[in-house]
Amino acid sequence: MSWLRHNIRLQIGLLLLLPFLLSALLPGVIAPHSPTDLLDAPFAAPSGDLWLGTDEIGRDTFSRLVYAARTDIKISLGATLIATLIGVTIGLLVGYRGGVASTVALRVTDVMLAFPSILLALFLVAVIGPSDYIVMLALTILYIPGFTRFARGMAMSLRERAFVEASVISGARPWYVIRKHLLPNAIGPLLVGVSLTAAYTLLAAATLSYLGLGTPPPAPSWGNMLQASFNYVFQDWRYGIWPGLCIVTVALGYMLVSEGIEVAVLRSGSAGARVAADAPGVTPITAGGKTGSAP
Amino acid sequence: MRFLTPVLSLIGVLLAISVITYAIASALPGDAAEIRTGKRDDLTFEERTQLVNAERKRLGLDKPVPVQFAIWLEKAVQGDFGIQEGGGPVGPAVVERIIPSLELALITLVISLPLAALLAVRSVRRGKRVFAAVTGQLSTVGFVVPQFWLGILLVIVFAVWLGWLPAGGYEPFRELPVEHVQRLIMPLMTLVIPTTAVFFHFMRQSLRESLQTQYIRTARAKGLSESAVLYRHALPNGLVPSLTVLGTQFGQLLGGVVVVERIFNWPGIGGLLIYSVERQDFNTLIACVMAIAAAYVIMSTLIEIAYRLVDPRIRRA
Repeated sequence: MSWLRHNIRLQIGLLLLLPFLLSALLPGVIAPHSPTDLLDAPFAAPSGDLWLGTDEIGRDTFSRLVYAARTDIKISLGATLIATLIGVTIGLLVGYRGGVASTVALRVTDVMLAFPSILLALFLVAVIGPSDYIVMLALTILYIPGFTRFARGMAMSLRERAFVEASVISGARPWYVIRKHLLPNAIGPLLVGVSLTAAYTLLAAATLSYLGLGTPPPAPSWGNMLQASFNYVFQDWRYGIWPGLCIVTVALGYMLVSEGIEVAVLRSGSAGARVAADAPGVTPITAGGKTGSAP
Repeated sequence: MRFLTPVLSLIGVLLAISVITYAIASALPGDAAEIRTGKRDDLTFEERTQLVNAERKRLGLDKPVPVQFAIWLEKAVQGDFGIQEGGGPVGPAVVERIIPSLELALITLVISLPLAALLAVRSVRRGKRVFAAVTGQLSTVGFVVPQFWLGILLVIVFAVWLGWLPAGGYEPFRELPVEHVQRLIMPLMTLVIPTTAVFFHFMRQSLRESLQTQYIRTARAKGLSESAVLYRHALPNGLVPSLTVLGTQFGQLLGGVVVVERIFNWPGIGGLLIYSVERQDFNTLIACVMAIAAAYVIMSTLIEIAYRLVDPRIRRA
């Protein structure tokens, strides 16, 4: 666990994420009630049984938050991991091979990254219809180009290193070089981008849900709970505080973990870390020119 | 010649976006003819199909999609974007809705850019460690707080608790200027806070880099005051890289405007977009996407041109 010691950002980040990851894994154990049962009058005050009171039709707000954690984290991690897998595979391949494919990949990602991301997601979801998996798909498409560009840059720069050349000269096949040399060295900087992207996808999913284009009710998500709360802000303003707090805590957790991993990677001094250190800010996000805040 | 390339690429990008948008919209299940015909339970399946086909013929939907697109494009360049589902031309409706959206976006830029520059300069100044630490932390928070939650928090504070501002709505500026500004404050705050945080981050980064350069050392060595060094030498050079960020940020800002309009009931393009999706009104949907894309692309082009003006190295290339 040496990577965790003296790494305060990583520690705090993981600490922030822990309760939410547990909620996502075991909502039934943590939540005292069902997320959809009517338990009390609307907007009942917090009590020993209903810790955060009830929502506009009398469901337990706390239990809904716990079940929403599963939805939101499933979408954000799902979209991030699939985008990573696809983006990195394409990126390493075209970056290592070079040539026309590499240039084409660069131009295609240029175009994709040029369009305002949330609008693209909005358009996709609007066209296909709202559901958790459509949101996940839309966000996956959105974040593939960033990872492609990152992996491409990484492969192009590692390709020139002596140990890769040595491997190629000794007759290694491209796929072997990618697996044995490129990927292990890219993994550290990659994780920095993965956790940062997880934060972005979480915020984007919540935004779509807020706009009514995400998780369809009655299933809870932090975004659709916020949307519902907004209609009753003059009756019970407390209702709107909690879902937002959850979103911010998890997003902050992902970001701190990302920064923590960056510190750990730079300390490790691997070849990939040196590549990343030579070009500061080269994460899958910044490499793609995606510099913006949460959508 | 210098500005021809960006303008040509502007037209190219707009054309590409219109092709993609039209293609996706055409691939959707259920077309305008289906929707206009309605369910019609009084008719048999064949009779209804006949009606739909007649409607399709009338709307020109029986032609192949590329031909449809060519017809649409020919009319669109003349400013005719077709008829809305509820009647009435699409063009004026979209124009009417995009003006309040642009109002939000542009005022946000006008406030955020100078504010971020000011904060960034102050935070890299010597002897401002507390200020630098506080603004650094605040800008991180500005990154993660989702705009819709920020909006709700503002409503809770200023509308529910204090009762100073209306929770949302819109009044035309010409008739009710005071009411208009009152309803403008919270949407603007919701947009300005995260936008400023992002610009601040990038400006601070590029200022720090430009402070390491030789010309700053020269400026200091010849005895210029810290203010002169920062504002006259570091800031102009530090701002150039931020210009590129401005391009991508304007896109994010347009996305934010869509959300903010929803929170504060601001009658902008985002609302029309969502409404047209719900009603499967393709003419309006395509026009909305094109309007937003056009705003974004025009802004990027202006930035590109500005970039060429301020950075002689690009001008020559």
